[in-house]
Amino acid sequence: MPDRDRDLLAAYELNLLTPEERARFEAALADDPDLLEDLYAAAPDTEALLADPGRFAAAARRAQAGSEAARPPGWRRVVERLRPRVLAPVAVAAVLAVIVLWPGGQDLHELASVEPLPTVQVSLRAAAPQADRHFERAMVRYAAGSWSDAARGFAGALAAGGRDWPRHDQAQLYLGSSRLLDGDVAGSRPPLEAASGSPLAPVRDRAQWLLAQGHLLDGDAPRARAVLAELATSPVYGDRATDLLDALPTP
Amino acid sequence: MTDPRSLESPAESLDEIRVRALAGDPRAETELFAQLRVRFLSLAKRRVQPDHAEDVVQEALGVVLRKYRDLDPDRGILVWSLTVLRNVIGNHYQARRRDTEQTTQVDDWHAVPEASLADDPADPLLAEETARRLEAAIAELARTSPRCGLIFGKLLASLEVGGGPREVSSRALAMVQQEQPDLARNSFYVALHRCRAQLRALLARADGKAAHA
Repeated sequence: MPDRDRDLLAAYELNLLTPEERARFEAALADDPDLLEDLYAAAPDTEALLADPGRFAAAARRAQAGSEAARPPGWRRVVERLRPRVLAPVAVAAVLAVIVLWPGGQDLHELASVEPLPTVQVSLRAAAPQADRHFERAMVRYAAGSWSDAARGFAGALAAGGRDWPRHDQAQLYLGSSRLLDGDVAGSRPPLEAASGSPLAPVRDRAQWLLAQGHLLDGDAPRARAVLAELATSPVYGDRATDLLDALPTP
Repeated sequence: MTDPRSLESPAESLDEIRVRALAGDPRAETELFAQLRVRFLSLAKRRVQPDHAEDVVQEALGVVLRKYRDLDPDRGILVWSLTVLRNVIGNHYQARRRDTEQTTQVDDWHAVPEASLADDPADPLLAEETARRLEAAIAELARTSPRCGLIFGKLLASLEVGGGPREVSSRALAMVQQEQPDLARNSFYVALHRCRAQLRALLARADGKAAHA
């Protein structure tokens, strides 16, 4: 495929080409399997972009605004030149004063953030297994904020479905989340630990995040730190995990 | 005698054929699915065992046939149908993975990214995961390459406003030119394509990090 056609790939994906250009690109695509591979590999991301372009435009805008704001104004550049010689000793003295005078360390409870997960739409076929029906009813209760009822429903679904049930990991995640939201931190741990071993990254990452919140609620900083460290490379929770790790008191 | 114009540019895009099919032209629907089939088969043969490729393609085409009438007219059918194929291939691998303990014939599912796709139950979670991952990559792109951030940001904002292809791209270009007057119309798509490559690299890096976590 000539480069001029290949250069149209992004414009094709985002529906910017005229019908004639689209037809030409598609004809050229037929002779270029690598380009088709590229289109295929990016297809979910392309669909996500087109489904909600405003969301991603806002992300770009925020990042650009942040980069602009990060450029220090004139007075800050002067301060930064002074910092190594004058301000650094002052900062060290201030940190030492905080360490000496701080009454009892930061409250881990305040760092914990327990929020409901996105709910899942469940469409049941006529011959859906019993476990799916339990799951669907539990999800309705979860969406309504009836955490204890939802937890019972997810537990029932897991009992009916067994380990080979396709929704097993997801139900463990929601069971753990329901219990955590209901204030049963100890009860949330077994299902969340089970879900954190899931091969499905969205389930696994969310379970680990909630596990870490449970450890924070228990005041167990070392365990929270260990789970958050595993999450630090997650594309979804990485930034939040790193921020939380930074906020935890040093051991 | 062959129409020489047909050698230079094909008569219709897949989306124009789709429009005819939706208007009730059965030949157009046949043509649309024949063209999709060729592309699906090319991709499927690289991903599943040869004796399964045809089944996977038929299943994906069946899903497309059931759903394409509800597809937003502004969305391209090829990109959308490729996501259908990805899901079918992902489900194929998930099913084979479940069968692994009972059979000795196993595909190399670890080597195929979509093999880790969830079955239907986790779909909303996966969609949100994809969106958040993409959001993070676009923000990173805007920080590391302000010009690309500007191009993507304005283009996506223009897409949000809506309109036909020319309207969307002209509006976006005008917005970009307010801050980057050197960007000419004829190099806009090339610049966009290069920014896309940078975005894909950022996404690949993020996926690599996640895979090694």
